[in-house]
Amino acid sequence: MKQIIMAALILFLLISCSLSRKNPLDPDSHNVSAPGKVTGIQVSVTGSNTVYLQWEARSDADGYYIYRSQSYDGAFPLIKEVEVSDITTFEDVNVEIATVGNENFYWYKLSAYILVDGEKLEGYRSEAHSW
Amino acid sequence: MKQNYIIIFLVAVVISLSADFDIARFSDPQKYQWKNFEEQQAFRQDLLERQKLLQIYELKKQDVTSNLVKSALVPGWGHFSAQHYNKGSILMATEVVLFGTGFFYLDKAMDSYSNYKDATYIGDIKQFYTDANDEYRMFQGFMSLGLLVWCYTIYDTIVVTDEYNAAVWNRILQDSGKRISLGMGTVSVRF
Repeated sequence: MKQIIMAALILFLLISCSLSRKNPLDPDSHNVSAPGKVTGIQVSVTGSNTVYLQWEARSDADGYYIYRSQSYDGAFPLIKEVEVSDITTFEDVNVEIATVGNENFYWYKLSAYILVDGEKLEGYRSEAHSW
Repeated sequence: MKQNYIIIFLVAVVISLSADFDIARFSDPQKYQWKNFEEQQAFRQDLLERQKLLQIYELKKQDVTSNLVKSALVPGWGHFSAQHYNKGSILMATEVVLFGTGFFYLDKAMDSYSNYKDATYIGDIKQFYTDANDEYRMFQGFMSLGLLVWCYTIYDTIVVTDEYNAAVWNRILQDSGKRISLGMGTVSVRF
């Protein structure tokens, strides 16, 4: 019985060790906090090849990332990095809004980032938005 | 003067001890119930035969320490040496599965941990760290179980080697028909 308890104790001690948090951008181990989600996102079509995006500025952001996809739940590759936090608009001219009845939809996600020792810590991405 | 007293004391002690010493019993040629020279020779012959059995046993028996070292190096090897092939195979396969799965999870954990260290997106940082930790715990769990089985294998090597040696001894006894018994780790000869 004693040996079983000892073995269980050793097993527990071995399993209870965890990996150290070595990422300098990790808010759980370093004195940093990621910016919140970008809010107030508005998407509108301003031409046959132009989509206009607008959002609310965040005081805790140093810049923004803009992602685009042609499906709501598909992959959202990065299409633009806005490096100034005061700029809260973007005009996407690389789209093809097709003819009536066969319209292409584009979905956008935005996120804010802050600079930590030259590295960019990106906050949570917004929900997908379209017009 | 003092030296004389010591010598007298020592002589007195020797005389008193020699008075209790039974010289007849000490030199009794029949104390082993040998009535004649033939009986003494027969007794001697019997002793030699028993000694021969022990020598055969010493040659055929497995060394516990060497089997222990074998099992410590490769789990199950000691069992194979002691001809416990099924047990050895099961223990060896268990170790391969436990350590193999353990290293599989370690590889996955290190991949996730590397992704965590390079991540800049808060969602990735949290997700990769959680994944890396979960996989690392799985690795630790399997390795710990593997170590426990390894320890058991080393312990069990002693048991199966003793069983093997007992079987060897019994075979020798069956072949010779002598009444000599073997205990766990001890040999007792009934004269």
